[in-house]
Amino acid sequence: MLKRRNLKSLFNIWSISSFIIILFILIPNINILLNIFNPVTDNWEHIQKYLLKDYIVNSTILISFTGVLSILIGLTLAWLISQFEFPFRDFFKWALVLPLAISPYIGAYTYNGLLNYTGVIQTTLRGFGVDVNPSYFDIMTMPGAIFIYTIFLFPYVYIITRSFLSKQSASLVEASRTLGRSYFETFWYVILPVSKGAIVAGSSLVILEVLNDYGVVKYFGIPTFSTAIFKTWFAMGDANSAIRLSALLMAFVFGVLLVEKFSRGGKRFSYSTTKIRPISRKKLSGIKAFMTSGFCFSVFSIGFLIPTLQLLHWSWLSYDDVLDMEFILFAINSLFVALLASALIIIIAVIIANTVRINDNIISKIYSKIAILGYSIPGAVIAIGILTFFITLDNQIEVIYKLLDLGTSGLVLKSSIIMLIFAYIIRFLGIGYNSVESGFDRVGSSFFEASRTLGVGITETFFKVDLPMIKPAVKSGFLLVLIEVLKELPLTLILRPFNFDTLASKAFEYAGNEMIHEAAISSMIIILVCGIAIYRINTVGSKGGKNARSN
Amino acid sequence: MLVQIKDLDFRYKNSDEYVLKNFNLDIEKGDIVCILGESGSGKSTVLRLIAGLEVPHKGIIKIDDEVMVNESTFVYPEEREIGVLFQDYALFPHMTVAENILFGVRNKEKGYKEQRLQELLKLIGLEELRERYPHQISGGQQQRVALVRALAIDPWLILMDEPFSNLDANLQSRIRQELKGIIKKTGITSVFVSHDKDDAIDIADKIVVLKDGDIIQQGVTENIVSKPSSKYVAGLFAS
Repeated sequence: MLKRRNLKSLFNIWSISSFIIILFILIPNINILLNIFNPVTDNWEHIQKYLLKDYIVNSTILISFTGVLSILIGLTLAWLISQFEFPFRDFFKWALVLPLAISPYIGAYTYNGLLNYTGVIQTTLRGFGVDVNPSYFDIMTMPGAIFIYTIFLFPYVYIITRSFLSKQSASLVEASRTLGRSYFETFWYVILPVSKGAIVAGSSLVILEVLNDYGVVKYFGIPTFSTAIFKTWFAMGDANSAIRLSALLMAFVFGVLLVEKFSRGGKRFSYSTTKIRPISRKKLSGIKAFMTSGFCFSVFSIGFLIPTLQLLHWSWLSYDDVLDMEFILFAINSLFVALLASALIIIIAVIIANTVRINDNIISKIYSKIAILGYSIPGAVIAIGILTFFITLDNQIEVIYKLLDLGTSGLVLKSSIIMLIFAYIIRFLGIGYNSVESGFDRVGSSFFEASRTLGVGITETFFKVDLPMIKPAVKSGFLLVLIEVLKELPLTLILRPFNFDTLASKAFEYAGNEMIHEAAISSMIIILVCGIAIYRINTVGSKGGKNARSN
Repeated sequence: MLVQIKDLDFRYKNSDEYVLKNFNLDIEKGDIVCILGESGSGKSTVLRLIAGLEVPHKGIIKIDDEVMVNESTFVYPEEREIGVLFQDYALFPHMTVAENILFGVRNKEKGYKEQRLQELLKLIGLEELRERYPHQISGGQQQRVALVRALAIDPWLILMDEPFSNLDANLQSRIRQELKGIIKKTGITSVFVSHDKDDAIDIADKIVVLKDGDIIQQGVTENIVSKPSSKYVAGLFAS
């Protein structure tokens, strides 16, 4: 049957825009796959023979331990916050998300500064006449890296699991309790199996972040895939081997995603009734309340308070040297690029999410998978894909540059900010997309259908009906992306134009040059903006929830 | 005949089972028709197909002799001029009562819009509530606003999906009479689906009984109630 609707769906502005965007997202990844088949170099043989094993072993140790420890901390906190009332619970509920405002590499150099020989801890101990072997405080080790990743990434498990647990029925816990099980047994035999999907989802995010990270492992001198890709590209100048490593890392990531799918896929639980009574939290008192608050405070302190206070102190010591007109200009520049990239990402996310919603077919499903693909791919891999793509593109359109008199190097796009913003879009589109998509899901289809039966077309319906209703989700998505772009390091280090710095790259550069005090101000600005954004997401989220479908 | 449905086949995506197979239905101008059936009988699907919110696999739908769907044509919902009262009313929460009602009245002068708004508000007796938001009015009032919003575009016919299912049981009888009054005043052809025999008996001129996608019996309300053609239909009307 020839359907006018299908023809219109294929050729409306939403579908065409989405198709072009998806094509651009795919090209750099395809570029990597095509380049794998280039002949191997001597460097590659060396890497394969002597180094590859270390990269695989180190990456596996890091993701395994960080994954397990993040689950332990994140799940315990999620359980305590969702099940019990104790002093400062409302504060800890959102404050325990704050460690996400601190990038692991900022945390790494802050903790190293705190714990090294001249740091506040060893100095204080010496002040009291306690002489401790300095090697006990050496954090620049594998266990140190695991500690850093865990304490700054556990909120992914905490957020997803807490949100899941708070939606569970009170009857589950009550049934278990009336059948004679303790709170701990209820947690172990009832809540844990039911929450498996949420826990796996949260820990997968942690693992993907660890595989993406470059700053911590570079600073601590632990060879992993990320550091190897950088080294091969920049130190050895061997693009082919860097691409091969990227492809291997991608295979590693897909392995993780497969394990995730397998772990979540088997059993899905759903309630046999639609009437779910929310959990009423049990009030803790006495020593139990004190210990629970104390545990939350300890995690909050290690993950946020202590590093922030240390950074504030260093900022105080160094602001005179660092804060000049040049710094202010580059900080504004960095914030502007982050805002621009976030705005573009959220616009693209809205376009694709609306296309997917309008066209319920296989192509839309593929679009939605591709949109979220980038967040699984480590920054270094995306960077290599984009770099090779832009160099090819520049070579192809060099004639146009000459005609327009745009310089003689022939690498106009490669040396512009466009490449970096393009990379941010690929890497973080998934975050924006998930947020917008959940907004559409919450609103449902009846408003859209009502508008269309009242004679209003798809695009006009979007602006008059859909957009005002998904505004909270769009705002949250924008802020989430902004946080990630501001903190981003590997992409920025590889793809930034000459003489262009972001707050993150500047902080990393200072820390790498042992100028830890100088790195503090850039880091503090990132933490401040991210902290405000996290607070806003919390408020936007609850407001959105209250107003959604208020009729 | 205002609505003609001929040999319609329909199944939802991701399902191999047809909800409707060789489905035929005629609706005359001015009728108030209730499609009565249990959940899963396909009654809401019929409404969505008439409104253009679903695309059939085969068959013809005509409205006032104009083809809405056949092998080569599909008229989009926004071009069909059919009013729909959704089960959850779908009032836009960020718009006032007045904005909701005038949402579909486009390309008209301001004076005309205001006059139309006054007429419709008067019809449902909610003149005082024009600046309220949907969450500031009661469920019954929301339903009336949703109804006149659908009527505001001067549709060929109005479709209503379980219009009373969201109301308290003690309100339902009163609201039924109100709704019937409004429809009678406007004289518009109406089709509504329900699983509740009382809705059908109180409002409809004609009833179409649907089971598993097939019409079991159809006709004038009194005849269906007094002379059910099968045990199943009799069971539906048993108190």
